[in-house]
Formats: sequence, C-alpha cells, structure tokens
Amino acid sequence: MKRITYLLFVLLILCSYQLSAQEDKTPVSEMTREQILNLSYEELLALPFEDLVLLAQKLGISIDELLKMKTTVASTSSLTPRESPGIISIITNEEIKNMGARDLIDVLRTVPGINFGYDNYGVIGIQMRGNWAHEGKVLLVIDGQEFNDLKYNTLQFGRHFDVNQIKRIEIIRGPGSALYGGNAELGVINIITYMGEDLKKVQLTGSYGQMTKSMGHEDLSLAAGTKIHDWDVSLKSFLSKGNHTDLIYNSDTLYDFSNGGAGTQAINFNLGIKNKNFGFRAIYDNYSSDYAYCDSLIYTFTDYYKTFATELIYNWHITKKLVITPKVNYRQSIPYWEEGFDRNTAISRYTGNIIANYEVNKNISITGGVDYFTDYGKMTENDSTSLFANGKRTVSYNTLSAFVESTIKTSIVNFVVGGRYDQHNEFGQAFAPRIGLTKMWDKLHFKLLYSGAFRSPSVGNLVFNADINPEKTTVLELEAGLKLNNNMFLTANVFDIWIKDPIVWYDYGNDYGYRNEDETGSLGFELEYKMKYNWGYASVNYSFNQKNQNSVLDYEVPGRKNLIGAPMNKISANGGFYLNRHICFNPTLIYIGKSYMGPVNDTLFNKVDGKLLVNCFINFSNYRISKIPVEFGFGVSDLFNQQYPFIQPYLGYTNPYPGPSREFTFRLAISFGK
Amino acid sequence: MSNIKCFLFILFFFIYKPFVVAQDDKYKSIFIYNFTKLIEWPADKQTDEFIITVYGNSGITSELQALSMKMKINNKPIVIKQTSSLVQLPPTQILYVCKDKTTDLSTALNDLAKKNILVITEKPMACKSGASLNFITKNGSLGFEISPSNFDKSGLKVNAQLLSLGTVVN
Repeated sequence: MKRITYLLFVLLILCSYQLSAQEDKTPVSEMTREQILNLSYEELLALPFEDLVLLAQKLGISIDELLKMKTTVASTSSLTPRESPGIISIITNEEIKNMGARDLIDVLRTVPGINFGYDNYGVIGIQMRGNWAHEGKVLLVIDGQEFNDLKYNTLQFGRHFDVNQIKRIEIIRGPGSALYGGNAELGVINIITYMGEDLKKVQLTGSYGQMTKSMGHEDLSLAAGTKIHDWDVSLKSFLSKGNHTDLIYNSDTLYDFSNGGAGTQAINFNLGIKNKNFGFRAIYDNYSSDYAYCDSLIYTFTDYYKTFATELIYNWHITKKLVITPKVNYRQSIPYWEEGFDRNTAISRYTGNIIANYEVNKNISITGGVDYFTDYGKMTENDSTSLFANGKRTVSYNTLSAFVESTIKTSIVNFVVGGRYDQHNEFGQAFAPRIGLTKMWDKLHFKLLYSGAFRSPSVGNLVFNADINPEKTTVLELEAGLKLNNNMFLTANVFDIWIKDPIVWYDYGNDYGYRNEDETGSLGFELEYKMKYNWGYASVNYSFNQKNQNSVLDYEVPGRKNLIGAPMNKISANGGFYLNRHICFNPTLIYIGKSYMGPVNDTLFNKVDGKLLVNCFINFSNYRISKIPVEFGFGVSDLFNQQYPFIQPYLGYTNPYPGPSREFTFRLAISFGK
Repeated sequence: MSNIKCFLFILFFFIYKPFVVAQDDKYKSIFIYNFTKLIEWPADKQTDEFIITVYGNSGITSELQALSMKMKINNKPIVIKQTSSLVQLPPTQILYVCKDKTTDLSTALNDLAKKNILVITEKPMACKSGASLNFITKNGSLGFEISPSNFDKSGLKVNAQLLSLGTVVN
C-alpha cells in the first residue's frame, strides 16, 4: 500500500511538473564538470570562443576543484578544506555516483578512520578512529537537520539513506562539539543534497542489487526542483527495500538470513524552499530494520526509526559586516519502535537559535550565538509500565547553550579560538573549548588543533541512570598537507583522543545499564593521497589507530592494542577512470585489517581476519534517448565475496553480524524537463 | 584468488593511465572551428570548399568529420582529408599534424611557408618547428599556443582576440 501511494505521488509529480521557461541558466564560469559534460555538441558549437576556452580549462582538472571548495562544516566562516580548523574529508556527487555506492556505508568506508560495527536489533553503527561512536559520538546532519535519534542519539546505517540525491558530503574526522554540541564528540558527517538550482528538472533513479542468495536492494529515488528568480524549491523522495545480508548468522543457533530476518525499508521525503535570506526545510524519514533473535527457537522482529525534522531560518543582513541569523527547529524522533514494545518512546525537540556573525575587518571575524532546546518525551504504549528517569510516563529536559568563535588571520598564522557552554537542567554543565592554528602557503599547509568536546547523556541514558554525567573528550590533532602539483595532493595527520568519563553500556545478566567509566580513547595517524586529471581521479588512504589510556573493560582486548571490533589498519583506494565521454570505470578497494571480537559463549577474544573488499562499477552517462538524458551503470560489490562481517565493538556477547555477500547492482537514472 | 592478487589486479587500473579522453579531441575540433572565425586567408586562395587535412592518425579525424556534417566555414562546406606524407600535400587551408608526426617537422613546414596553410600541431614546443597554433595540455587543461611570427610566415592574418585567448610564443 505504501508503495502504491509512493508511485501515485511519483506519477502526480511527473504529470503536473512543468518547468518554467524563466529558469536562470547557469553561467559558464559556475558550471560544474558534470554540467559541462552534459552539454551537447550543438551547445558547445554555439558557445562564444572565450566561453569554450573557459570550459576546456574547467574540464581539465585540477585538484583545486576539491581544495578550493568552500565548506562551513568545521567553522562558522566559509573556508577551504586546507584553511578549515578541522581534519576534513569531502566527497562529491561525482565520486558517489561513479563508485556505484549502494548506501552511505559504501561511501564512508572510503574515508580514513571510519568503520562500521554491529550494535543489536539489526542496527549497523559507526566507528570513528577506532572508537565505537554509535551512541551520540558522531553527528549526522542532512541539509542542516540533525539525524541522531533523540532517545539514545544513535544513527542507523545500512540501506538507509539515499546516496543518489547527495551533492556533497563534508566530514570532520575529529570533534565538532564547539560548533555542534553534545553529539559531535568525535566527528560530524554533513550531507548536502541537491537544491532546486542543481536539479532544474525531475530526476528519477532506480537501483537494484542482487546478492548471492537474495535481493540486496530495490531503491527508487525521485527529485524535482527549480529556481525561479530568487526562489529555490526542491522536493526529494526515496523508497527503499533491502536486506543487510543473506548469509548464515551464528547466534546461539544457526540462522539463515536468506530466509528473512535482515530486511530493511526506508521512506524519505525532503522539501526545501529558499530565497536570498529565508529558508525552510522539512524532512520525513522512516527506516525499519528486521532482526532475528535465536536461542532454541528463532524469532524475527522489526524495529522502526522515524524522524520528522523541520526548520525556519532567516539571514538578517543588518550591515555589510553584521549578519544575524534566527532559526527555529522542531524535530520528532520515534526510535527503536517495536510492535507492542513496552518502552516505545516518542521524543520531540523544540529549538530556538540565534547566531550573530560580525566581520570586524578582512582579517578578524567573530561569531556567537545562543541555543535553547526542550526535549519532551513520552511513552507511547497505552498500557506501558515503563517510566522515564523522573518516575513518570512523560519527561522534559531543557538545554541552554552559548557559543563563540573568532577567526583571526595574521601574516604568521591564522587562529581560530572558540568554545561552547551547555547547561542541562538534569546533568548540569559541559564545556567544549577549541583552539586551532592553521597556516597555508601555496603548496603546503599545517594545522594544529586542540579541541575539547563532550557527549551529552541522552534521554535513554538517563532512564537507566539518572546520575549519569556528560563524557568529556580532549583531542589533539596535527595535519600537514602538500600540493605536489596541480593534480596531486597529499595529507597526513596524527591524532590523540582521550575520553574522560565515557558513557558505557554494561550488561552482567541482571545488572545492566549505562554508567560513566574512567577513561578510553585512541591515537593514530592517517595518510591520504588524491589525484585528479582529465582522465579521471583517484584517491588512496591509509589509517591507523590503537587504543589510548583505555580502562573500559567492555572495550578492552587483553594483550592487544586494538579496542574490541576496531581494526587498527585500513587502506582504501578509489578511482574513477573516464574511458571516454560516456564511460567511467570505477574500482574501489577497501582493506580492513584484522580485529578482535569479544567472547560470546566463553572467555576467548577471537581474531577476525582482515579482508579486502573490491567493488567495481561502470557508469554510463551523457546519453539521450528521444532527447531524455539517461544515465545507467552496473557493477559488483564485494567482487571476491569476502563477506566481511560487522563486529560488535563492545562486550555484548554477540557473534559478528554477517555482512552482505557479493552483490550485483544495476542503476538507471532518467531526467525530465529542460 | 588471494587478497594480493586481487589488489594487484585492481592496482593495475590505478597506475595504468592510457585512457585518452576523447573529450580532448572533441574540444580540439570545436576549437579549430572557432579558430577559423578569427583567421583570415588571402582572397586569391579562396576555394569552393574549406579543406582540413590531417597528417597522421588521431581521434581528431573522426571529430572533424562529425563537425563537417554539421557546420560550414565561411559559408563553405568542410572537407576532411587525411595524408600520410607532406611531400605532395593536396591543396588545403588547414594542416593538422598529429602528435606522432611532429618529429622533425621544421624542414617540411619551411616548405609550406607562404602557401597560406594554417599549421596546427599538438606537441609541446611545436611552434618552434613552425606551427602557427599548437594544442597544449597545461595543468591538465586543454589550451593552445599561438605564434604570431609563424602566422606572418604563412601569410595569414590573425585576429587580436585569438592572441588574447591563447599563450603567445615566438
């Protein structure tokens, strides 16, 4: 029924969609490589020669396309990745599309330091630089809306988010609490989807993947948008059905997931309206993941994760130097919802936020703001006996935050100094200072970053332990980058993460819950080499981590430098090779080093061998059938069927959750409109 | 297959880079079309057809043929010819010398001087061998060098706009 509703919605849009002839044409100087490649022969012939020369220059290459891409993910000022006070990765739509990514896991595995592990309830979570970051340590932001659930602050990966509509992903591989608050302790993933001006048409994308024994995914993605005068409107939707895996799960008993029990479904709508100063965003997301519980019998369940997020924002340009931005947000989160489950919870967050940005002069800028939000939670089952930390079926928490950041550019070095202070009515205060020194020459840059960060206890944490405190993190990072020539760029960084009072789930039979442990963390380094030529692009990176001052037994592998479930070594290589104007061949290699799983039925920490995952995708673009732009591609993920599992990165006494088997994928995208 | 073999198999694609992008040839052909708008051939050398002769083998030939189907130059149909020798070069307005034929061009091109032929090459420093226009790849981007002195030698007039769009060499 949901699918029929969705198809009707698609038909309605396609039938009613008429693009206005008043659309603005993108100036040649602002065209992207993709837009240039989409120009027809006739369009190129009709161009003035000077524009053609400019296009040829833009088509050429250069690593500068990436290095000069402005980002605000790590700072309130718009800076290039080399200037930003953070360790940054940027992934473009071109890379995502060409690699044939099935979901965010495929994309993020190419980023240094990021891995994935298994939590429970069929949920795949994220690891950052060796640390299990599933609960509130990494923040996911989509078009300005935070996506961590409001009960445990988790993220659910695996056939969840639509990668076809992503314009760019900006990732801070380090703390972001000074800007983003209590869920950005170890990283921020900022996803920017297509705006109306990028779309200017209706784009329909279908993708199908077949694993060895069962369907991998069936995705349908629809995006429509336009820009008329200053008004930019976009509406995107996504319908997905898939399976995490089709392999046999070794729980207390063997369970064959090809018979079901690993299914996923996702529905997503994303509406954006924007003009010069005003912005509105509304996103609805409904994801479900099946899971199987096996003892002597086998039971299968489905957990749902619903999010509705909306925002109104206004940029008030008081003077040329002073901009004040008021913003209001409403978000409702219904995570881990299970049919008849006693602890089913809905949490709503109401946020008011005001930010002032003052450019003192061309070298000094100051940004400051206050943020106030209320979380209102309620148990949704009528006959529920579960209670919140206050002993009631409803609960309310308030948080007041203030933050300030100043960027000071000098001839010797650039300073970024700032901090964020949070006051929560239940667990008290938390403070995240930040000092960054950056220096950039033509070919070389350095960054020295000291960041305080914190993770706020979630509503779900407080249910188990009303006395829990925020965990506090200190991170030191040093990065050096070298532009070898106009086509190659090399970066290297070292990091030291120290987490004090980590909030840890423990489970000793009848004694379980959340508590603050003493300390944990990791240290390591990351190397990344990127190249971009007119034949395509490639990147290779290596990341290393090992535990640092860990006293948390639930994360400890005795006698080893690994944290549980954390591979110390990872190598990722990804390339897009344009064989001609239409065909791009894209191999991706991910080597995930050996790691250790916690004991399940005994006391042994077993080694999980390293595996090389090889994905290949061939993308065919710039075709037209009856003047309709068509793009398609096919490929295979895990070519050599290595079946790398998702390891539970804590003492949960659970066997690794099987990864997907080799999956053949086909994708077709068509566009309507001018 | 072992992990190492898999790795080597894929690594091959990362280090093997002969994927010549046909995109360059398409742009070169459209560049040539635009060149003709900014270059003047002597009136006494006018013919009923605009002839472009390609010396050597390159993807540019098929792109120029595609161009000739769609466009005219100075209101004349475009004819694309191919030659394997410069000794008995048929009448032509443009001679396109492919990269593999650019070696030791100096003598041959000296013979072509004053024949009002625009010589276009695609090899670094080829203007020193007598080419008037030379396609280059600078920082991976397609561009061109232009030699006013070689234009003078060939008896062709070049518009100042063309000089401003290319890299002037002498």
